[in-house]
Amino acid sequence: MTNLKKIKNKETVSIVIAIPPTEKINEEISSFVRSEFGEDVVFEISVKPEILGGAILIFEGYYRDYSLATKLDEAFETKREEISRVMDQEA
Amino acid sequence: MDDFNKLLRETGEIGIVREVAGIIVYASGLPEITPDELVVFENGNLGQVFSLKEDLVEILTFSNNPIKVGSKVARTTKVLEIPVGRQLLGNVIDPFGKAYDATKRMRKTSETRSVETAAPGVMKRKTIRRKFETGVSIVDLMVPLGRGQRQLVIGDRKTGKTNFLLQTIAYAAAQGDICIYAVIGKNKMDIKRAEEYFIAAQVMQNVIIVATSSEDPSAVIYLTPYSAMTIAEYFRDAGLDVLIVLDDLSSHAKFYREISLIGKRFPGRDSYPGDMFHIHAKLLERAGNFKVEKGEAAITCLPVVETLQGDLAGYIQTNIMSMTDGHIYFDSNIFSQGRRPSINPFLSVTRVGRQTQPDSKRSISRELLTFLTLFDKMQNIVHFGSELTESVRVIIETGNKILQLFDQDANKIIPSNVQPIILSFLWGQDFRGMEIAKLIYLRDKMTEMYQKDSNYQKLIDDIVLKSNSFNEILSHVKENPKQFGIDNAQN
Repeated sequence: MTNLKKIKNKETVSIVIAIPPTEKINEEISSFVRSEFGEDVVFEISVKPEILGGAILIFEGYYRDYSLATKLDEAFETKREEISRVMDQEA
Repeated sequence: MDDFNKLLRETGEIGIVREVAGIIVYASGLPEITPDELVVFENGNLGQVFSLKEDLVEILTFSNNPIKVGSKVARTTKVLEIPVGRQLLGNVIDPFGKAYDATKRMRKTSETRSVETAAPGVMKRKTIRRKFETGVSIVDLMVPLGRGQRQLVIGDRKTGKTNFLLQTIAYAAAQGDICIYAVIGKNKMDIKRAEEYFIAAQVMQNVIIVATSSEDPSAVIYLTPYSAMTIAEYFRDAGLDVLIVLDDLSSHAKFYREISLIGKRFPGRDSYPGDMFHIHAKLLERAGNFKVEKGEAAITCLPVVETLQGDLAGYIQTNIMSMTDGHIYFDSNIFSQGRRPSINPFLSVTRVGRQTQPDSKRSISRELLTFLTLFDKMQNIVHFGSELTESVRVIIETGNKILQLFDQDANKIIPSNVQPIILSFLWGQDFRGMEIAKLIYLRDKMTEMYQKDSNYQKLIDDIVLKSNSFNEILSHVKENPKQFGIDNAQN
């Protein structure tokens, strides 16, 4: 209970990733959060396979989307013709 | 959902719903959001920022669908804008500019405008000089209106206010004005009835009905008059005169009170919030007579307020009376006597309308008011049952005829220049014997001829506009009554 009270007023960093985190991934995320946001934060990890890869970060109302799914969407929008040509060639 | 994620990426901000209180939702996050900004919830619902607290954003939702705690919220970086344009004419729409009946299609407009805009300053306004005719004798003669005037229509429920308004809108639309009827939180049958009335009067092509029913969310009902005024401003800027009717602002106040109390605003008088005056003032100040590119264009506004048992001293009633340029009072006592419209000319006021009238009509208005005051006093004497002198009898008889002449069906419109001529037949000594049935027949016949025959219309208009007083009109009528379509004085 004392531990829960300690984290009550701490800021939360939400991290959304595509795959369930392993021990190694957890440690890497933990050290990243500490270096970027300081020691006085709590992070929570949620898993959404639809982002395909990368991560989405949410902190104090700010939203940063570094997911693979978004990058692919952007690529399809900007380089639509080039991609269609390549796919036609492959076919 | 794609649009929602796109907004999250574009704005780089996100909110999480922490608390839901009916139509108001409190969200954390959204660090750079601005007041009145539009937001989108995860389920696609729209909301508007109501206020900014220290840690939370207070959002007013525009849907009856409940928002769950923990839902995500995205900014749009835009304030609420609605589509405006001629494509809206002939339609019944909601405050967002979409067809009220979801099965009907509407053409897209090319322009959108913000619902909340500041009222133009004094340099953009012009003095009200042009008259605004309602086609209702008692109003045009005794409580005349001007284009750009804000005239309150006030009275108890079921006293004929809406009939009068529909009649006025139909007449204005037939004259070529753009008419906008804002139905605020009424039942769906009333909305349908209004639409059918305008279609039957063949004026719907110049009318837009902005409607919300009582089952719509309070936030959407709150927006109705502002959306209507935004559409009116578009047509004003296009150089067209607009009539806007807000039916009714007392309901609007009640819905805003509900929103404020749910939003934990401190209740003031009658539990209304402290900014109640501002909510209506910022709306009504957007009406008036303005300088536009093509000269001059007016937004004439008829806000409606309901009273309870004739109490004109209520909070909302006195607020709106102070913001407007006069009021037309619908008296329930007059209504119960069977007179329609049940307008009390003694308790009605017009602060601006008289300066738009020609001298002859101003003198008629003065004479009528003086005479009817005298008639009212005489009626009190009659109650005592004492014997009446000849002069008292004449006053009472004439007064009764005037009141009967002012009686007008909801679907009958009398051009304002015909009214003084008819009054001359009633007033003139030479026509004293004419029965009221004959006068009414004459009125209807003259109205028909005025509307169909342009020469006859010119004759009537010339007499009324070129005369300097009522006595001059009386002389014209006395000299040649036949020109008005009457064979002789007594037939």
